[in-house]
Amino acid sequence: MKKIIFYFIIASLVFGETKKWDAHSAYLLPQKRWEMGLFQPFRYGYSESIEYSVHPLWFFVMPNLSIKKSQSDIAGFTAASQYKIVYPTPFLNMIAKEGTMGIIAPEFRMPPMLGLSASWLMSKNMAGVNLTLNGGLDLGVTFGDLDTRSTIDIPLVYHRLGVYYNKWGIHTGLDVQKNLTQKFTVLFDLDLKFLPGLAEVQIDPDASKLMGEYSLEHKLLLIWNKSENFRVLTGYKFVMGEYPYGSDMRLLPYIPMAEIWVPIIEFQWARKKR
Amino acid sequence: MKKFLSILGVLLILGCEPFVTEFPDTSNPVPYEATSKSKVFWTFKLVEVSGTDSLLSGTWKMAPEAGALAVGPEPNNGDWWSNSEEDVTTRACYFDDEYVFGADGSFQNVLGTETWLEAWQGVSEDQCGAPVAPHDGSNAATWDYNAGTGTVTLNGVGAYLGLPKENNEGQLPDVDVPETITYNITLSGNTMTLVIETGTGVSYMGGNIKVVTWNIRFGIARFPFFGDSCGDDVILDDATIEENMAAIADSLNAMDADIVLLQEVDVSSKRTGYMDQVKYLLDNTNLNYGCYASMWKADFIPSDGIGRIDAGNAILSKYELTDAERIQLRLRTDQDGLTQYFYLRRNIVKAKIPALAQGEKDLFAVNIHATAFATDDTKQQHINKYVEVLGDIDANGDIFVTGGDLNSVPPSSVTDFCLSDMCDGDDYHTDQAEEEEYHKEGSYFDNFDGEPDILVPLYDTYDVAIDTASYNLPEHFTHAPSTSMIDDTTATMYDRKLDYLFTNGTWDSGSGRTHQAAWELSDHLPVSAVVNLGGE
Repeated sequence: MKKIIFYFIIASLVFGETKKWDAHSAYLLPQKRWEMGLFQPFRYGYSESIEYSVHPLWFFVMPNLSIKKSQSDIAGFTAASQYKIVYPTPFLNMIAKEGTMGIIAPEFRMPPMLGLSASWLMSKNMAGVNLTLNGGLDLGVTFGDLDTRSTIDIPLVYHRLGVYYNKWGIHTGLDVQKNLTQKFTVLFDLDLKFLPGLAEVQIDPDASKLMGEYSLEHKLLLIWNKSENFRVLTGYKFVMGEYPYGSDMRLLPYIPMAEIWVPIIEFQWARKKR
Repeated sequence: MKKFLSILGVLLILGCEPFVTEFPDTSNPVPYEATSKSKVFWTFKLVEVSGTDSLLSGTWKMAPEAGALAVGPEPNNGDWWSNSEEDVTTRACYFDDEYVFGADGSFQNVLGTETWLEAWQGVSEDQCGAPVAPHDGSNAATWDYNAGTGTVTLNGVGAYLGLPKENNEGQLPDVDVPETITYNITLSGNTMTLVIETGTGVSYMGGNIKVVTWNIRFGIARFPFFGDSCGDDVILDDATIEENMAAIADSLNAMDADIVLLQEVDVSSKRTGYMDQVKYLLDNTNLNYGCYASMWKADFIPSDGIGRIDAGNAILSKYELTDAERIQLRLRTDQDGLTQYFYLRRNIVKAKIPALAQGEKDLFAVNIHATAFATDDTKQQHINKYVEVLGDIDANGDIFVTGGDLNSVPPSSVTDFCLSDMCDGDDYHTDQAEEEEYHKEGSYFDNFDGEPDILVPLYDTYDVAIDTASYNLPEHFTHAPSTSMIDDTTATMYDRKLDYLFTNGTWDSGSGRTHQAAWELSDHLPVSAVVNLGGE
């Protein structure tokens, strides 16, 4: 069961930032509508101005909650703010273990940590293209010593957890979505994460080098909108960045045993609560 | 529902961030060079045989004494070679050559009917013979002395001092014959000492070669690593790794080996702070060239916090390595498929060292790290392959020096170390243990018929650095697991021999040594020996 949870959690990092039904735009879900996907958080339109989202499977090992709130339009752009809170410690300690699925070395105990994130989103439809710009600040609050050797040095994960080692980071991104036909949509997104001064924040200079101040993630998806309540997505995700072992880039997803890249396949569902 | 769950499972795996294992089964070893290689300095000592009051003008000859010709890593240094007194006689045709500095600025090599010729000049072996153009004094040349920089420059193709092959661009025939050559000069009475830097790397000038094999345990010394001792830690801190590697480099420098066969070297592993240990050793020893072959390479090992790993075998050498080859050894068959997928890909690394060729015979260095923990016949397969590789070199009429961590005890050795290697909570050699594991993997050397004598073919066929009369003596034990370091006051530093050196040539009698003083730097100890290569 733990393995399944782990797979799901890691997998959702690859798929978890698709936009439509506009998860990463400044548009909120209509009231009482919910959406979810295999790798997508569960989102719920609480009101016309507030939307909640949560990764349900993560929740039990990594409690998390996100709130998106609509803001006044700016220069013709629809605006919203988004706030996230996550408590990763239980999950990280679960994978700091001996044996299979020991992702972090067992000698490390992760202290209580809180991840806080605030983002500003602005969206606009221009000539049939939905454009969203976002940017924000990430804070990693730790309540105890965090050994720099406990990092997980793989794409997608390293920079997300890097905020706890660096204490803060910034992120920015761009989403472009265009309807090709009534049924097909294409989504292009680009996300940048920065961890300024990561190499200089060593608490214990003897422990291990913290390197890798940035990562760039790009995704291109073709979406088949079967109906308002179901859609299928396919495409790829490209990641490049700096890591403690040097620069790296990767096309995802990737099948380990076969050592080949395969297209993303994602299903998403939506309903409106009566 | 079942179908849905199956599809869901596949999708989950597809979406999983890959734990990519980049199997290096067919890849060739990665070549390495030291960032700053040893420099080659030739020093020539000349004496004036007739002259004028002018500083240089006159006739000079090589000083007829030992050390008049010397080559080494520094000026005025003959560590790599220098002529003997006997050479003054055997090379009389050379020591009578004249270097004539004319008072009018002209220069001439006056060699007479014979001088000393080397193979690059077209002779079958070094010998006296008629001078070969353009190094026969036939071309007009001039000299120019600069007191400010302490140099003398010869202008003219073929003009030289000391040895014709040595020049500022390198060594003939590897470079074009230069039009000018500049030497650093020191004058003292009627003696002239010339120094010329002729490039990087080490010039092999004949003589014996020292070989070392050492499993350096990726620089973690006696750290209680979970994988091969009773410890449960995985990642050492960077500072300690650097300290350990510095000590290993110091130890190799003290041994002053020409060829080093290393096992368990990390080049980009999380457990050792991503230090490139091959590069580190090349940059901190007098070794200049290396080649490395991965034994365990994966972007991420999802077990025990190992993470990214790239560990393997390396050959380091003072002399350039070519034709490096990674020879895959059979995988263990006593593991399930998933474990085997992420497990070690053991190999043999083989490289040619052209500078050490003996006439028509090439010299190869061969490095092996055989399986440690297999309980099937994998070890037999590894040794068989090793014997085959060595046999092929031998059959071709070439020379090899070889060694490594064979994870096998010598014939007639104790074969059962289960109890001495036992960790707290382990249970071996009991009825209860029999249900699971009667012997401890890696500590028992009689898993299949013939394992205690697995090395006999090597001993029977080739010369061994530590001979049969000594190989089971405690002073030649090379290994004890770090298990023994649980209690700081009672340490078993070494209790068995697992590391070996062989050659199809001849080890210098009595040169084989087991460097037990290095026991704190790894759970294996280095073994060294000097191989006779003939020559000068």
